[in-house]
Amino acid sequence: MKLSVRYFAMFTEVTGTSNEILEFEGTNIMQLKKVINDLHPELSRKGMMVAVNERYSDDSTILAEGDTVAIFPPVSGG
Amino acid sequence: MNINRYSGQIALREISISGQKKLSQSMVTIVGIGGNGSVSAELFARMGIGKLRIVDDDVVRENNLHRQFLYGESSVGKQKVVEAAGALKLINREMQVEVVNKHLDAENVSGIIEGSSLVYDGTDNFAARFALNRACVKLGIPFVMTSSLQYWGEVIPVVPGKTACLDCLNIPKMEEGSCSQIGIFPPAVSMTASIGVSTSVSILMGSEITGFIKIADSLKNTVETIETQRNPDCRTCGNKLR
Repeated sequence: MKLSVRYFAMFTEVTGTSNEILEFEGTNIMQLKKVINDLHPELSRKGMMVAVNERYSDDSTILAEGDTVAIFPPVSGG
Repeated sequence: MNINRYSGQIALREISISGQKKLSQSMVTIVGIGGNGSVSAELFARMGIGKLRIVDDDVVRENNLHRQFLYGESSVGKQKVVEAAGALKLINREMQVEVVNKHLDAENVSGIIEGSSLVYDGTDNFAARFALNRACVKLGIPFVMTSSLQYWGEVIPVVPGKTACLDCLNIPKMEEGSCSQIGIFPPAVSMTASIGVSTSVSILMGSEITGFIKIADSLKNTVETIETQRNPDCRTCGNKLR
């Protein structure tokens, strides 16, 4: 399935992009995180939070063709 | 309450006199009076919050001055809470300010936030945020988390029993960087604090809010909104605990 993946906050600098289209062969977010980790290994150190179609989602969330997935870190400073 | 002083915001339908009265009867505890905390404290003071309790055990450093409101060059080396209280009283002498010169931890958090209408996070680390989140849920006090680093900021409101708490979100562990190590763009702080204070004022005035994470980007000047939902099995606010 084709997914539109958007990166927010410092992930735009880490990945060098704010969005990309991914061809994804898995079914859920846990599997997608692994794919994204392989593409951008630096992301896991910063912690990945995920939203699907602007809704915060956990690892078990099932993805569907055309979903927009946002990947962003917890921002730590004050 | 000095109606004339606040006429500019009383004219707003969402505030009006009844909202202004609620603000004047509210007590907000701000934990951490650095970047987000100091900018937000100034906004709360100008808007007419009845009482601010400010909590911090740090001193003002020269490299705080580019982003932290309330402090000037003469504040360097002095206690933040004392300097901030002095500046806040100059802005609004009717507002009560209570200073707490302590480092917040899991042991003292409940005593520090007790009696608050709302707790506002101006800290710079997730250990403190999780401690505040758990204590606020336990005491039923609304909590607004703010954070900012480099060009970005996040705001998460927690209204116990109504919106997701931080533990519902299962926030992953990560390497935490500090503003002095990896940088902070002052507009990111102001942008984040504005969202945090606006959210807090809505809560104080009794508006229904849905759970969200706001992600501010001060380079692109955008704010993204992610909708959140409570986790009924959350270890902190789940239904079995209530």
